[in-house]
Amino acid sequence: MNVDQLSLPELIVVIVVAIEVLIVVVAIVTLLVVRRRAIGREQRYDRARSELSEIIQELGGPNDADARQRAFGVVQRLGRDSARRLLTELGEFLTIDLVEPLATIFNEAGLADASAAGSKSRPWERLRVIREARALNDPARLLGDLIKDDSPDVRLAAFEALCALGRADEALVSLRGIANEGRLVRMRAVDALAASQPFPLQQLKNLAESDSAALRLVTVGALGRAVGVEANDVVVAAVTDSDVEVRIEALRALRDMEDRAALPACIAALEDEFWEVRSAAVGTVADLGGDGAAEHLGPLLDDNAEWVRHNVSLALRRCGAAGLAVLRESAARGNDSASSALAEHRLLTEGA
Amino acid sequence: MTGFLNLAVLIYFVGLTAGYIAQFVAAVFGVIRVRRDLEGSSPENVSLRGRATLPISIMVPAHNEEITVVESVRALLNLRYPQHEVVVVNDGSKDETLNKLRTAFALEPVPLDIRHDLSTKPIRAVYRSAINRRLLVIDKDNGGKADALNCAVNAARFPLVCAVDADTLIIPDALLRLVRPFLSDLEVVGVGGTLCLANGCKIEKGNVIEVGLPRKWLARFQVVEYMRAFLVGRLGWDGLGGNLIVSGAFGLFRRSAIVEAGGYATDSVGEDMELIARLRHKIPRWLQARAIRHLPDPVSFTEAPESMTILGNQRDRWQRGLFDTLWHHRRMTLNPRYGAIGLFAMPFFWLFELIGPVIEFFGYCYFLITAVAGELEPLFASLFAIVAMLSGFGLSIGAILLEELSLSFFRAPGDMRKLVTVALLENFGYRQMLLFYRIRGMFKYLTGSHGWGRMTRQGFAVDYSRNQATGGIFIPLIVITLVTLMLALPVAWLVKPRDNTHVLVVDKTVPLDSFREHHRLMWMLSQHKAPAPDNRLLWNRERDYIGYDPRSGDHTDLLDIHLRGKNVLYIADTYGVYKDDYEAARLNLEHLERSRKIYGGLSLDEVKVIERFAQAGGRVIAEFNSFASPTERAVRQRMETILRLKWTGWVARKAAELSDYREIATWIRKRWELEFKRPWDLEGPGVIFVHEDGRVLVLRVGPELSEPDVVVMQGDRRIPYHYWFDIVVANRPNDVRSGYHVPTTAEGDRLMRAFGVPNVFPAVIHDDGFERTYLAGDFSDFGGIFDPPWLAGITTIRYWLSRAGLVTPEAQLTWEVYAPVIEQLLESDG
Repeated sequence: MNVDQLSLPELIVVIVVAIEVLIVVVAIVTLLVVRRRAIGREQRYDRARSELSEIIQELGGPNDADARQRAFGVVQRLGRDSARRLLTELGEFLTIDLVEPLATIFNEAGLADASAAGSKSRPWERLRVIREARALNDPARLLGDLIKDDSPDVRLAAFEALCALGRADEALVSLRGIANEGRLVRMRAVDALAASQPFPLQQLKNLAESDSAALRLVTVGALGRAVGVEANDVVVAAVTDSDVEVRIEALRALRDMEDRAALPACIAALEDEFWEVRSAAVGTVADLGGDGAAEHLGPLLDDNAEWVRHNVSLALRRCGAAGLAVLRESAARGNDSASSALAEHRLLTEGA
Repeated sequence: MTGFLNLAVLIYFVGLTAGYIAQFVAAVFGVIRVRRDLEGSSPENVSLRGRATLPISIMVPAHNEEITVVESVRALLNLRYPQHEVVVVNDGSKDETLNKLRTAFALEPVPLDIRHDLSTKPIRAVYRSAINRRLLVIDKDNGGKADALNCAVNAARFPLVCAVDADTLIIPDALLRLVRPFLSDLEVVGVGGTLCLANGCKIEKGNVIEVGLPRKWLARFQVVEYMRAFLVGRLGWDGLGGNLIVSGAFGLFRRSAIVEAGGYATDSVGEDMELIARLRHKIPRWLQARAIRHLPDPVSFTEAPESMTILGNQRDRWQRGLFDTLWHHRRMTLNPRYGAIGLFAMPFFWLFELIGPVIEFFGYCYFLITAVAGELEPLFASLFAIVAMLSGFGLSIGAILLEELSLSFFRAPGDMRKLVTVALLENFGYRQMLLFYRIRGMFKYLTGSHGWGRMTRQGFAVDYSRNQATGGIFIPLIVITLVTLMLALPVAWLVKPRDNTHVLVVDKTVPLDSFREHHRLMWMLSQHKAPAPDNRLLWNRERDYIGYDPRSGDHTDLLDIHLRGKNVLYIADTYGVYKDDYEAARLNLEHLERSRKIYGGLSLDEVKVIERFAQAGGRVIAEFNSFASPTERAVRQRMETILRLKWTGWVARKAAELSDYREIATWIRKRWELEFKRPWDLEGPGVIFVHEDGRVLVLRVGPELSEPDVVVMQGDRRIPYHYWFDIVVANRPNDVRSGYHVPTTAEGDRLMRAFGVPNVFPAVIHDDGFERTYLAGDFSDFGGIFDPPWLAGITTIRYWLSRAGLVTPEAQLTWEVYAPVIEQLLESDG
């Protein structure tokens, strides 16, 4: 083919063909190289994981020193990246007692430096560092800085990690920011705080009086979900908070806390102007009030909000005979929610 | 026009390639992003955090799924997820689907109050499993997949619903992976995962233990196709902000969004895509890119068809679904309210996914047509074909690379080699086959067909490597064979080397613009790829000759310049055109009277040109009427010398009915009456001989002729000849290759002898090298040829059909006498 004799379209197509051939060849070579390296890396990783999983059993035992030496050797043979990944995965899998030796190996292998570098790198690197820290009990002590990170995702992840590691008091510095980042984030923050040990009770009680509704919401939720914590007065007071969501959260928390002393406040909430609050109060009153709740819940079968009526009909089924009586009476008057609840109750209790 | 079409094709192709490149690049970034997300946090870490975990209702529409439903449901119940339920909707199955579920899961009827957010066909019964309270089974009247899904939406308890097919196998942590976007963004309404093929995988108890490549090539092609579709297409559009599809076999949605959109459309075969389009109507513009997502790592497996019939039905249905959705939501196209969806995704799907198969099909036709018309630019066409193939191959390699980076399923030695081979081979047949099915789907949609076709489940317990899909193979084989044959003939003609015989055709007897006088000749020249003027492949009988042009009335005499570069001169006819020819020819009648000549006969100058040409080594071939009247005697004699023969002065032809005055020229009848001194009272068929001096001899079938036809004797064949011929004597008797025979009776013999007319005389005269050839008949006339000349081997086929007596007598002469002469002439080097 003589290039001089080609027309312009033909020349363009020839050039395109040449480029495409080049691209395809490069793509195939890349594919083969990537695959070979990936397979090699995976095989080395799998071998190392098997080996380390066995060595870990010997840590803290009579052969502890030898086991540590061997473990260190295994980690050294892997690349830094793979070593961090392996230790993280094992740390997530193991109980807290066995995490300490892994953390030691982590530091001795110089992986803390890599972690520290990662904590100043791009967001996904920082998230990876947080995951690592959470799994290995923060061997590089990086969570304290990451809790103040610019990225909301990083802050939340660091918050959860600190709470999981029993350092909730350090996490609280970012609680105000986290509380303002949306419902899902608040939910995660509440769950993290509620599960933290030791529980930052006093700090949260102080925060419950904050001027920020979002902060009050998170603290009330955490106080309500924490196990074995004496914070009923704070949560009960939140039932009459100026913010609707705080009131709802307080009512849900009281339900979980099973504090019968809070019942009057909850019954009062049945008359809240917001149906969402009334709806939340219904479940709480039913659980705390037992059979006696039926008389307070009955009138809400005629509530103008459908969800309230629906929740009341479900709640009355948990109020024993009194609840059923109210349902029957209401059903007789043609109340759909009552009829439906009654029917389901009858069928579930009486069988097919 | 050709240039414009070439440019249009090029622009279309550039647009298509640019679109796919954009998707690929976006997909690469998507894979990198997901890998980083997963490194930062494992799925469990994200999803298993208390109330942040959103419970999911898995919706399973089931119709005649007895083979796989139990295993499938069991696997779904065992998925690793904090809180989920499985809602199976038995959509009027006629097999044992419900009974199998009842037995396997101890179903008990429960008169549960199900919401009626979406209208569905009536529900017959509702069951809850006594051994696993997370399983709900609804038995309802048949209403189709969409209706079943709507019923499941009504029954679902949880805020997220996951639509799966009854045969979909979901990996254990797929839900954990799929739910991620919902946990971080309240605006997400739908997320799709990646669908891989279960064919070739090792499956135990509804779980994929080991991923492998199928053994059947049809399924292997689909493996690569699915990689392209999900890892490049869906992920790419996700990155570009224009995801238009979440697969109905594996997609997670907010229940409230489905209800608000009105549920799945029961009148669409593409209900999954159609739902997404309707969801988009409810999503504000600034959320269009975020609201519907695709993730590469949540994976589910589905069974791919391993028979062409079922595959065809599937692709047919998908194309109809695409058409239906695009059409019903056409207002989204180029509408900025829908962001990238409206401005890029919808137009792309219209132009390249919907209409693309039609354009590609016409591309193939265009290729053939331009080749046939001689307008094909071989280099451009070849390069374009290579570009198209390489683009497809490159995209497939890219998809395989993305699979390697994201899923890394194919780890067995040889898998990569097989995948790359598949990526290459799918461009040669598989893609074209899908083209056919997609066009069929569009045609069906336009003609109102909305069925699902037949799907046959193999069952998860079956070893896919031993699948023997024999059903439906014969019809496609026959179709492919026929298509191959149909394509083989023109392709074989196309690739045949061109003949290097350059022919000049002279025809002065062209009274009508049918140009039938040299039709047969030009057909032969095209068939043998003798180059037409301007080096075209096909001869145009309207312009590729010199002589008389009936349209303009112009005429061109033969000059030296016409023969420059030629090695064969073919003189078809020089009789010329006469005033009354137009009327007679129009009525297909003989010249009733001799009328004024408009143009005709060879001139002295022309014969000198021919002599110079012949002396220079050029080959001359002439037919009946090349040198007879109105050519002058002196010129004729020089032509006879050139052609190495002597004309006896006699011409003749068969007459079908001697009493038909419309058939017999008046001057012939008058001459005969003068000769025989009685009125023309002849009847029946016969043969009329006319001498240049005016003598007329008529032989009637019966009294003078023993058989109705003058025949051409070719070897052992006797081929009837019905038209004009002349009686010549060859200078070299050995050059006579075939002859005429007039089958006379004794009386006919006597008359012939009296008039000095032989009853056997030459029909075809030529030397071994075809330097001089004479055809003593009107051989190049129309000849009843209807086949296109661009079919290789057609002369051979027709020759044998003629030998078998399956063609008309006129066609017999063409295929058994004329075609071989021309073929030998063109093949000889002279």
